[in-house]
Amino acid sequence: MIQIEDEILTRCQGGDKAAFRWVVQTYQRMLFSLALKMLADEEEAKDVVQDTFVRAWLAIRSYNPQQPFASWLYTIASRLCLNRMKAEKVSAMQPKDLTVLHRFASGDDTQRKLENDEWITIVRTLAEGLSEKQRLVFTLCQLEGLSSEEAEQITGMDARQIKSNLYVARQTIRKRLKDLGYDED
Amino acid sequence: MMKIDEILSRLQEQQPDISNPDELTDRIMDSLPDLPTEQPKPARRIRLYIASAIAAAASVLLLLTLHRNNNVDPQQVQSLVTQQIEQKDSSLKAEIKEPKIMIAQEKAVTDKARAAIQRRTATVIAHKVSTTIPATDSLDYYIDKIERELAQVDESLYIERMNKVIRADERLQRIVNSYILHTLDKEGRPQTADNMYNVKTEEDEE
Repeated sequence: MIQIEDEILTRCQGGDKAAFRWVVQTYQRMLFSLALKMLADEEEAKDVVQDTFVRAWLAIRSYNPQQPFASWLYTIASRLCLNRMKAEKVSAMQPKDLTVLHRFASGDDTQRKLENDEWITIVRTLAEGLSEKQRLVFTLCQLEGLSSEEAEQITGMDARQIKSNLYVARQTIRKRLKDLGYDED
Repeated sequence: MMKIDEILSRLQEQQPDISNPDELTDRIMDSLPDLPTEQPKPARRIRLYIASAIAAAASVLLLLTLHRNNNVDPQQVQSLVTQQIEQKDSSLKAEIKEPKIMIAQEKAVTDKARAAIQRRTATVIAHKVSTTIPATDSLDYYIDKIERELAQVDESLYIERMNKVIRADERLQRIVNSYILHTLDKEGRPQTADNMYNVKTEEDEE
């Protein structure tokens, strides 16, 4: 996870917006990535990023420096994502989504970078059927590459809950991919 | 065709990009409200106020104690001390059956003790006199402090603070009344103390 200097945070706590702008520029991509994979909607993801930074700004004086700042932002963003998912169901997989997944998995062009709409279709295909918590843990640990300890800190779940949610999510996605004709090994 | 693990690990290597990051940054920055200026927490302010009130009450008690002790005549204290020393001296003399050298040594010790007690008595008296003025000053200081604090508090807290000051003042009045009653009792004039609570009005006299 990206870390910024304490001095920047101290300035933010003093109400310095210029310092906070730097924080926004540093972390907005990280939060956008999480929100897009969770919500599978670009505009919704941007809204969550904006809402996260507004909430972080308002609560910056109560931020505990013992917790990594990135984890703190992830915590706010993941709660906002879960709230939105509860309020509005993530759109279901569509037949055309399979074409995008096949193109990605064909391995023809491994250097090609996925576009945001391709990301949306892939996560929509993979994560369908997962519970909100399973989806969050899978996104944090599998797609964002965070450690279990970091996921514990962000989600507030204990190690056993993280392990079990991640296991179920992986098994569900493997089964889905297997059903779509992909080999395990 | 990729294997399942390969698909998952390749997804981890990639990260979506924001289409227009500067636009999003500006959007976020525009939506930020100004942070309110930091105010001391209410609990801290209340603690400060209570501490000031306690300090004021303590100063009053100290003042009263010192004032009461000052009523003792220093001459009386000195004569009592001297009397006690002389009694001890005479009893020592009576007990001594040893050679005169011992008596001389004993007398020297007694003289030293007497001188030390006299010095100590003088210091205590001087201390009593010197501490009276700072105690009064400190009471004034705390009253000034309370006034300054009251001038700074918000209107919403002002009434609450004033109620507390009034309560503290009532306590102070009780202390002063009890002191006056005590002094009057000591002087053997209980009827004057009673009069404080039984003030005769013109109607009564009629």
